[in-house]
Order: sequence, then structure tokens, then C-alpha cells
Amino acid sequence: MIEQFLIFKPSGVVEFNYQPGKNLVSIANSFIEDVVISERKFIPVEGTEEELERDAEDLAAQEEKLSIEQAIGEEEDDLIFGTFAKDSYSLKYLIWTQDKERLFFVMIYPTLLTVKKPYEFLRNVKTLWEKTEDREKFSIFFRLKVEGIQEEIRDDEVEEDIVGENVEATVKSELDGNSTKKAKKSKKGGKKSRKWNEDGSFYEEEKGDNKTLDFSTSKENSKQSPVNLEQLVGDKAHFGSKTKSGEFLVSDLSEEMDRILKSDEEKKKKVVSTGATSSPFGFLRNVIGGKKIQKEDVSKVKSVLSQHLIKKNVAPNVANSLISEIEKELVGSTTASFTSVEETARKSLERQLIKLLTPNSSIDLLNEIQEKVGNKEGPYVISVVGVNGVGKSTNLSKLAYWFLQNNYRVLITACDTFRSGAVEQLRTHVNNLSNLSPEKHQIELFEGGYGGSDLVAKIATGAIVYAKQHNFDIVLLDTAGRRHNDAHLMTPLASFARAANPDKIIMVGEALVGTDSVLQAKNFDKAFGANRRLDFFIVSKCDTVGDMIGSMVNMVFATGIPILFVGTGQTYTDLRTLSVNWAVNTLMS
Amino acid sequence: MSSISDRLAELRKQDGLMFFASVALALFVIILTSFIVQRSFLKSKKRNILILGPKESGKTNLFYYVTTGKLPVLTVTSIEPNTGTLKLRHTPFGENFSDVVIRDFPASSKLKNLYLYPFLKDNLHSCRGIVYVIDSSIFSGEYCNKVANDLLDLLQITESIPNGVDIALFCNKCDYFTSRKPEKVQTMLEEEITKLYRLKLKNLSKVTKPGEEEEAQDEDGLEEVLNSAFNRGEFKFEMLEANIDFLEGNVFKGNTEQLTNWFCEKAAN
Ligand SMILES: Nc1nc2c(ncn2[C@@H]2O[C@H](COP(=O)(O)OP(=O)(O)OP(=O)(O)O)[C@@H](O)[C@H]2O)c(=O)[nH]1
Ligand SMILES: Nc1nc2c(ncn2[C@@H]2O[C@H](COP(=O)(O)OP(=O)(O)OP(=O)(O)O)[C@@H](O)[C@H]2O)c(=O)[nH]1
Ligand SMILES: [Mg+2]
Ligand SMILES: [Mg+2]
Repeated sequence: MIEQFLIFKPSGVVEFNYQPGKNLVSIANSFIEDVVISERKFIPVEGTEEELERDAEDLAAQEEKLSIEQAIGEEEDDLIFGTFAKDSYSLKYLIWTQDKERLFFVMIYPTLLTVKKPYEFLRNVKTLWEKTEDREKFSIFFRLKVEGIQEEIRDDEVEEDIVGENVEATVKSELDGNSTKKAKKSKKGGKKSRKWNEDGSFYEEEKGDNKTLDFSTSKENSKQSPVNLEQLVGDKAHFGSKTKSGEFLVSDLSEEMDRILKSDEEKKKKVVSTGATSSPFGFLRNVIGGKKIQKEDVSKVKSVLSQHLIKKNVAPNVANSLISEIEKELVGSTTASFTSVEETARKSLERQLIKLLTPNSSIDLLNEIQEKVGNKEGPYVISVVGVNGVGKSTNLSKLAYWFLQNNYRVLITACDTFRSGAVEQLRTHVNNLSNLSPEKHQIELFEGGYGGSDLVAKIATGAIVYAKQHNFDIVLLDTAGRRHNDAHLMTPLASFARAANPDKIIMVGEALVGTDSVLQAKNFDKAFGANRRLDFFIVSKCDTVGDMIGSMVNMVFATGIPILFVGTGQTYTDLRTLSVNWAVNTLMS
Repeated sequence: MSSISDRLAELRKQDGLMFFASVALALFVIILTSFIVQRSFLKSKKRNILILGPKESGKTNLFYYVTTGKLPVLTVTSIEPNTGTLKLRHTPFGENFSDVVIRDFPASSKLKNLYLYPFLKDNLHSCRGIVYVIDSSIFSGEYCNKVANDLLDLLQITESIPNGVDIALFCNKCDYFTSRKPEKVQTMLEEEITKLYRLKLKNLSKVTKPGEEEEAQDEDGLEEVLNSAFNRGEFKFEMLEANIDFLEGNVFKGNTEQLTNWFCEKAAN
């Protein structure tokens, strides 16, 4: 069933580990890498056809969301629920934020199984963790809960049997019912010895595994026979005490557990009804720090920050997604000394942007090229794609110039067979570059004239063969510009990528374009089929936009793909690597 | 007559006001200075030892071990730094290290930009040492390249101050039979850094604000920091300002003796 349940801190230290079988920590680690660190949740808003199309794809995800909402009732600020899947395992998570400290509750089980109300379970475990100081006690609570949900599922399977067997359900029905189930189960599982206490409760011990407790009082059951339970629990003085063997009395604990869970629900209602009260001198706190940030405080700052981002050319829905991330981080936290809410929010946004723009792993292009060329594995192939006029050919030439300066032999290939003059434009570049290159015959143009899309793949493969024969180190493929929403032109990209199989596919995007950059990036990213993605972006024309470099944020946010270079002018040397600090400072200024 | 007494009264009132104002001002100044002093005092007194390295090399396990003497139940990928004070048992120094702060930083490059680099910028001078943990059982090719890249970034920062920051390159997980010996790790890293450094010099420079091209040369200047460590183009750890020790061990079995000695040495002075 549940193969692993972990409670851990952001520091990486696991506080609680329930693991009946093998260790699935690698699943939890991928969850952290993909969801927590990379944080790519995109909130779709009303929009174009493409977006609606994509929404259909996301339908499953939305249903999931719905079920989360149902599970948790009204929305809560300090709890984040979600799901993640990898290698035929599902992972459901709950992130609980308290005083800026996060605690993660994750539950891992095989995708083939369905767990009923997983979010409610997570929430209950969180409540138990919060309310139980004694960790040993908690782990027993937890086992009871786990047995509980596993039981419920089994109940469904064997329900009819049980009803049949327990026709004369009497005062003792509760216990009997349970023990029948237990009996059934123990036949299936290993041998168990059952120990009875004076007050009528019992617990079972699995032989050889002395810590496994096995008993359940699911809520429905206790509702059916409230009187009996009262009787059965009996001696309240025993509450929380241990037996001689050092184990807690089971029935007492399950009672206590339910009480904890119930009292929490009531408290929550109360909190909702009283609402947030503002204290006097709150304004002072705002100046000298130490203020507990409320939702209202953030909402003022929110619109200011998102306006700021939008002014910098960040798409409105990207800005909103980023800001809502900040809101989550801020609400309920306390401002540091001598910092206002505004300042705290700014800092938070700055951190979000740093995190977003820093690539997951550093890309060292020259090193990769050196590796491949050094090992005589054939030429290193790089292809540029993008919409019309963004600067593909220009930036391809800039790349070529850089490679030439590093003494590589470069073959530029004209795969733009559509736009008239495209080949001639490249020839001019190649002539210029040839004159600028340190040695003769270091650069050549490979061309195949103009024609349809099947010609493109042919030219690309031809160029690679030619490069191999003539000892070129690098092949640069220039492609035709295409609208990202023109399916007629986008579909050939997949077969092109398959035929040429470039080592790197680079999308060139303009800094000038605003909101559209989100969809450009997304559509080009998925144009190469299921197994191929873009490798990175070049953002061109950064010299023309001043500090409005928001489209960088849009593209990275939409795809999670890093920006390698930025174009800063029309000459061959106007290519730079992106400095995250520079970008963030520019965006925040 | 009346006018004079009126004026006097007025004067007295003014005096009183002045008095209160000056008292308030004095109080304010006192509070402010004590606050600032306290802050800077706390900051300067701390001695930091950092635990860095690629992901899943055993940093958090090591952190837990040297701050509590125990091993954690289990660890997952860290996303925030760990902070604690050094507690080494079985050493003559015992509890004397309570002012040595150990910090375990997450490895992901996103998170390094978020936590490690800002921290180094502000606190480089209070860093007494760095334990750079690697997984010696998978140390080859790509892994070596990643470590070399990371070290190159790190060294460019730590070597920018006089005497640099001492580093213990801790080859963890020596319990696996595939694990590489520290000597081998050292030569592999030196070769890889030599190669990378040559490539780095050829890389495109970073983007700057238009017009600031000239003055914003400090990032390129940083690269020169390491020039002296290259003997005829070959990188050697021993040529660095700081002392780099290559140690071996295994956090799991509590086999950290070499590291414990290193800690004692660094924390003692
Ligand atoms: N200021 C500035 N202009 C640029 C930059 N990059 C490209 N350009 C200009 O943008 C224009 C279009 O560049 P091209 O390279 O022809 O664009 P393309 O994407 O190849 O165009 P198509 O092949 O028609 O799709 C040219 O006038 C370039 O000089 C840049 O970084 N800064
Ligand atoms: N065999 C062996 N395994 C170890 C040793 N030390 C740590 N590990 C394992 O290595 C893995 C990573 O350990 P962590 O301490 O979480 O590593 P980390 O460097 O903090 O990892 P990140 O936070 O992801 O960067 C865990 O699965 C440990 O069980 C060791 O000495 N020997
Ligand atoms: Mg072109
Ligand atoms: Mg860690």
C-alpha cells in the first residue's frame, strides 16, 4: 500500500520515516528537484486558442486540483497540497508553513493503486504531528492511521462478507466486526498474537516484529456505536500510559488521536470566524520589523510588484504566478528588524527571480564541443529556431565568430529554404567571417537552394556528412523563421530534429516581444516531439529594450529552459553570456 | 509685570520641551548604537566552517554528525542551509568549539546562487575553512568535470582574500569498493581544472549594462585571481594561497578521523 511516508525539513533531515519495504527516497528526491527547487507551476489564464488546447491537456491536472480542494474544504494559507509521479510511483505531498519554517509530508505509493482521500490523510497526519510532542506516541498514532486507511480499502473489498457474517450485530458489534476482519487478515498475513487488556481493548503483535500495532477505529465505526466505545475505553486514568512492555494502550491512543483531529477542526472554524485582528502599534511594527505579515498587507504590495514586473515586459500571468508564490512565502511570516513589508516582499521577489533564472546545471558549451570533437565522434551540431526576424541568422553568425576565434572549423548550413534571400544573407555573413577568421578555409557555407520541407532535412543530413568528410568541428544549422502557432510550419520541425539530431537546439527569442514570448517558448519547446526539447535560449536585441528585459523571465518561466546567451547588438562580438545578477538587478531596479 | 512672568513661564515651557527633546534624542541614539554594536559584534565573533560539495555526496549526514555526534534517520535533498555549532567528542578540545558555526549548503546551482554565493560575499573573512565533500565511489568523467567546474567557481571567490580559505577535500563513501583514493582524485581534478580553465578564458564575457562595459571588469578580474596557481599552464592545488588537504573517510561508519583532526586544527587557531 503506502510504501513510504516521510516527514522532512527543508534542510534535508528526515524527521519521521515510515517504510515497510524498500527505500524510495530517490522518488522523494526527484520530487524535490522537479517541484520544490525548479518551481514551475504555471497558472493559465483566459486566452488564445493554443492556450485552450493546452487546457484540455491539463484537464486531468485540474480534476486533481478539484479533488484536493474537496479534500481540504476551504482554502488554507499555510498548507500546500499536490501530487507528483515518477517511475510508476505516485507521490502526494503536503507542505506546511509555520513561521517561515516549512515541513514536508510526503506519501509514496505505486501508481497502480488508488488511495482514498490521500489529502485528508496527509492533513490528519500533519495535525497529529503538530499536536503530539512525544514522537514515539506519534509513530503509534501514525501506524493506527495507516492501518485505518488500508483497512478502509480492504473494507470495500470484503464488505459483503462481513455483513453476511455479522448478522446479529449486537452491543459488541464494533469489536467483533473488527476482529473478524483482523482474523481474515491474519490468515493472509503472518501470524499474530492478540493481547487483551482489562478494559476490553486489545492489540495485536506480529510475531518477530514487536512494534507493529494493529487496530483501527475508523470514524464511521465510532459513530455507529458511541455508547459502546465509551464503555470499552473505560478507565480514563489509563490515558496515554504504557503497558509493561512499554507500548501504549491502543484504544486509548486511537481515542486521543481522534480527539486531537476533531479539536483541530473546531479550532479552525473558530479562527475563520474571528478573522484577522489588527493590533495597535501595528504601524510601528511595519517600520521597525518584527511584524507578522497578514494577507491584507501583502495584497497592497502585490499589485505594486506585479505592476513593476509588467512594466519590465513580464507577461501578466507570469507576473501573477510569481507574485502568488511570494504571497505564499510571506503570509504568516515575520518581518526582520528594520525592514518593512514592502522591503521584505521585494527581497522575496528578488530571490524568486534568482532562483528562476539560474540554470539547473551549468552549461559549458566549449567543454562539450571539445569532448565530442576530441573523441572523434563527428561534428558538433547546433541548430537555431525561432519566429521570423528575431535574429536567428545574425546570432548564428555570432556563434560562428566565437567558435572561429577558438580555432574550430565551422560549417554554416542554410536550412532556410523558404524566405528568398536567406541563403544570400548567410553567404554574406560567411564571406565576412572568412575574412575575420584566424586561418584560411576555417568556415564554409553549405547550401541546397530553395524548396519544401523535405529538402530541409536532406540539406541538414547532407551537411553533417560533408562536415565529417572535410573535418569540420561544428555544424551550424540556420532554419527558416516560423510563427509558433502555424502548425503547417511547426510540424516539420519534429522530422527535421530527428533527421539532423542536433546536439543543441537553440531558440532565439527577441527581448522586444512581450507576452507572446510565453507561447513562443512553449510551442517551440514541444515542437520536437516527446523525446526532444529545446536546450537553451538566446535572447536577442537586448540592447534595444533598456531595462525591459521581462521576456527573459517569460521564456524561462514558461519552459524551465535556461538562457545561455544574450544578443547585445548587430556586430559579431555582440554576444554575451547571461549574468543572473545583472538580469535580476535590472528587473528589480 | 504680568508680561514678564508670562514670558518666563513661556521660556520655562520651552526649556522643558527642549529637555524632553534632548532626552528623547539621547535615548534614541543609545538604543540605536547598542543595536548596531550588538549586531556587528555578533557578526564578527562567529567563526564559520562551511560544508559544500555536489549533491548526494553526504553533506547533510556529515553536518549532522559533527554537530550532534549522531547520524540522521534518513536524508533527502537539502533545499535550505543547515546551521549548527561544532561538537566534536573524543577530542581534547571538547566543548571549546561552541563558537564555531558549521553550515551545510544545498548543492543545486539555483540554490547556490540563492544562499551560498550571497553568504560568501558577506562573510568570506569569517570563514575558517571549507569541507568540500565528494562521493568518491562515483568519481569519474562527468562527475569529475562537475566538481572541477564548481571548485573553479568557488576558488575564484575564496582565493580573492589574502591566504584564501583552507579547504578539506573530503572523499566520502570510501566504504564502497569502487571508491577512488584521495591522491587519484587530486590528480584527476588538477587535470580537469587545467583543461577547464583554458576553456573558461575563451568563453564569452558576461553581459553588462550598456555603457558600463569598461568599469564592470571585476568579474573578469576575478579570473586573474587564480593565475598564480597555474604553473606553466598546469593547475596545482599546492600553488594556491590556501591549504588544500585531500582526506578520506566514511560518514556512515563514523570513519571521520582525518576530518576530525582537520576540524581541530582549523578551529583551534
Ligand atoms: N540591435 C540588435 N539587432 C539585432 C540583434 N540580433 C539581430 N538583430 C537584427 O535583427 C534583424 C533580423 O535578423 P536576422 O538574423 O535576419 O533574423 P532571422 O531570425 O534570421 O530572420 P528570418 O530568417 O527572416 O526569420 C537584423 O537586422 C539584425 O541586424 C541584436 O542582438 N541587437
Ligand atoms: N555508503 C555510504 N553512503 C553514504 C555515506 N554518507 C552518506 N551516504 C548516503 O549518501 C546519500 C546522500 O547523503 P546526504 O547527507 O543527504 O547528502 P547531501 O550531500 O546532503 O545531499 P544533497 O542535500 O542532496 O546535496 C544518502 O543516501 C546517504 O545515505 C557514507 O559514508 N557511505
Ligand atoms: Mg534568417
Ligand atoms: Mg543535504
